[in-house]
Formats: sequence, structure tokens, C-alpha cells
Amino acid sequence: MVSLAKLRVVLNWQRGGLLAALLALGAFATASVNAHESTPAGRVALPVHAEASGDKCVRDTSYMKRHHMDELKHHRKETMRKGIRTTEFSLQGCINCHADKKTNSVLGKEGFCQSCHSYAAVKLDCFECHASKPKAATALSSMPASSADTPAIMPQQVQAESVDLNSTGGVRK
Amino acid sequence: MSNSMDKTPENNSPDKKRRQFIGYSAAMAGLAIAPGVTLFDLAHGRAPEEAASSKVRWGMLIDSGKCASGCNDCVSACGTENGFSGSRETDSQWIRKVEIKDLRIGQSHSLPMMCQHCEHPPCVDVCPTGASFKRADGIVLVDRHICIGCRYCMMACPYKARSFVHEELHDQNPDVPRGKGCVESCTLCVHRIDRGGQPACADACTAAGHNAILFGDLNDPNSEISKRVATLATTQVRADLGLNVGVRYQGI
Repeated sequence: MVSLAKLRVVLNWQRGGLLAALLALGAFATASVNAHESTPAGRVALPVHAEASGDKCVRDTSYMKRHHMDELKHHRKETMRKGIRTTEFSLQGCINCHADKKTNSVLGKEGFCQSCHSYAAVKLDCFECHASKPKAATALSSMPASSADTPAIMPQQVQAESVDLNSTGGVRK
Repeated sequence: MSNSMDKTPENNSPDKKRRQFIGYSAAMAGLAIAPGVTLFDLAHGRAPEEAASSKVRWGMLIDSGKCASGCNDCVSACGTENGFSGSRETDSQWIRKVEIKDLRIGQSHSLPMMCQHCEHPPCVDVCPTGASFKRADGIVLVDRHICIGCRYCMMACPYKARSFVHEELHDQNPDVPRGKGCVESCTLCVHRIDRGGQPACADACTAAGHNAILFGDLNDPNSEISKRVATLATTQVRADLGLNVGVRYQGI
């Protein structure tokens, strides 16, 4: 026969255990939420590493973290000066894979490039000139906009010049 | 008798069979390669890992007789391709239409004017940083990574071909990076050429049926442009400067 007192002790112990488990779970959940998205109080936001759309990066993550800038710079010289257009380390290749699925860009608060560069406090100036969106998407989004705001006759195009050429014996107006 | 003839070493020797086999396989290989080679020549494509070569010199021949006065197809195609609409006052201008008129006889011509891709480009001579450069295949470009926006090249260019980007730009064509603070000019649509295409203006002119712009390799004696430059009277604008330009005009 189990005495009433004994039963109470067991129940208390179990309740205590349950409470402890809940507390632990709660703490864990809070911690993981913090790590994922928000800023721990007074700290810089951690970079967001969203899933890239490709299968596999051209090099492993540790290499890319340290050397992506060197590879990009090397590739930019090859492309700009010699016209070599391989895709392995092209900026377009990075953008095609790493553009955010929501914003379709590598910029923005959760953008692949910008979130990490803000965390590391390194200025990111590629995108002052380069498009931050994958090729097809940019074409689609900019096409209607540009055709809509383009006047039928462009003011700069209709300006015609009078040029004198020695060969025709023309006289400057 | 005939059997014995067939079996003579002359007809049936392993050597002869081998030679025939080699001959057939060579012929097959020739067939297999020939269409590929032809395609390669037509599309003038390079492999992506192959650098631009000085064996090629890209150029254009513009027939002002076919260039219609008032037609702006090449100019708008350039804007669409490279990302300027011309709607803003400060927008760049890589190509413009020019009307020339001989006042004594009243003869007038219309022609597009853009970077002439000189063999000896003055813009490259004066550039203090080395941003302005000529690629091996004769295309004159600005390396915006190095350009400091001093605009000396704009002063040096006899063709008024360069523009300065005064304002921030957004939504650029991924193939044509452009931004504030740099000088820029016609790139001969280098991104298209590297993929085996031709400049957007030439495409647009052909599509509109004018066929006034012919693009091709001036170094290849068999190219259409070389044949026409060799046989027709073509003009280099400001030939007196001795820049040996890549863009030639016919009929002016």
C-alpha cells in the first residue's frame, strides 16, 4: 500500500522535473532564436547565411570566406583586360547562386553579401556599378519599367550636329 | 582464277586494309569537324577561357547612303542594351546621330557617331591612371575599377565620344556594369562580342532592314568588312590625325 505522503513526494519530484525540463527548453529556444535572426543586446547583427540555390560552391566555405575578394579581383582583371569570361569566379556566378529568395538580391539586411560585410565592417562597393540581382530577373523587372518611362523620342537623340568635313568641303554653319 | 586474283597479296594485304581504314576515318573526321569549323567562323566565337587576340581587329563600316535621316534605331538599341534611356538630362551618350551638310551643293548625310576605337587612341595616351586602355582585339575600353573620373580622356577625344556618369545608377544590365564617377563610352558591346555576337546598334540596324552598319574583323581579309574596305571608297573621320580608327564611313 502506498501512503499518501509518499505519493505526494513522488508527484512533487515529477513536477519539479517537468518544470526544469520546460525551463531548459525555453532557454534553448530563446538562445537559438537569438543566434538566428536578432541581435544579442548591444551586439552587431550576425550575418545571415541563407541557403544558396546552387548545389555546391566553387570552393569550400573556409576558402571562400578568406579568399573570395582575391579571386574576384583576379577574375575582374582577366575579364576586363583580356576578355576572359570563365564563370568559376565571376561575380555574376556568385549573385546567381546567392541572391536572396525573397528579395532576389545579394544586398539588403539579409542579403548574402551585405549582411556579412556589415558584420565585418568592410565596405562593399561592387554594387555601385554591378547589378546585385541575377541576370534574368533583372531583365524581367527592368524591362517594363524602362519601356514605360522612356519617352517615344528621346531628347538626347534628336540633337543633330553640324560637322564640317575636309573631304566634302562643307562649311560650318 | 578470279578467286586466286582476289586473294593476291596486292588486294587483300593487311597494309592496304589499314590504309583504307585510315582514309575512311580521316574522311569521317573531316566531315565531323567541317560544320563545327564553319560555325566557329561564322559566330567568330572564342572559348570563354581564351583571351582576346591581336590577330583580330574589330571594326565597323557605316554606309551613310543607307543610314536614314531621322532614324534613331541604333541609338535606342544602344540605350536599351547598356542601360540608359536618355530620359535624364545627365544620361550618358555612347552613340549619337549626326547630320552633315555641304552648304554649297546642299548634299546632306546622316550617320551615327560613336567611339571610333582608334589604333592609337588619344584617350589612352592621356589617362593618368591606366584606366583607359585598348584591348588586344582593338576595342577601346575604360576600366572603371581604376578610373578616377578626371575626364582628361573626354578632353582628348576628337570625336566627343565619351560621357561622364554624374548620378547614381540602379538596375544596371548585369553584363554592363556602370556607375557614378566614371567616364564611359561605346564598348562595341564587348560582352556580346565575347559571346560571338555583334554590337546592339548593328543588330538593330539590320533588324530594321537598313543594313547601314556592318560589323566585322578588319584583320581578316575574307571578312565582308575587309572586302568592302578594300574595294570601296571609305573614309576615316579626321583621318588627318592619323589615329587609324576602327569605325569607317562609306559615302561621306
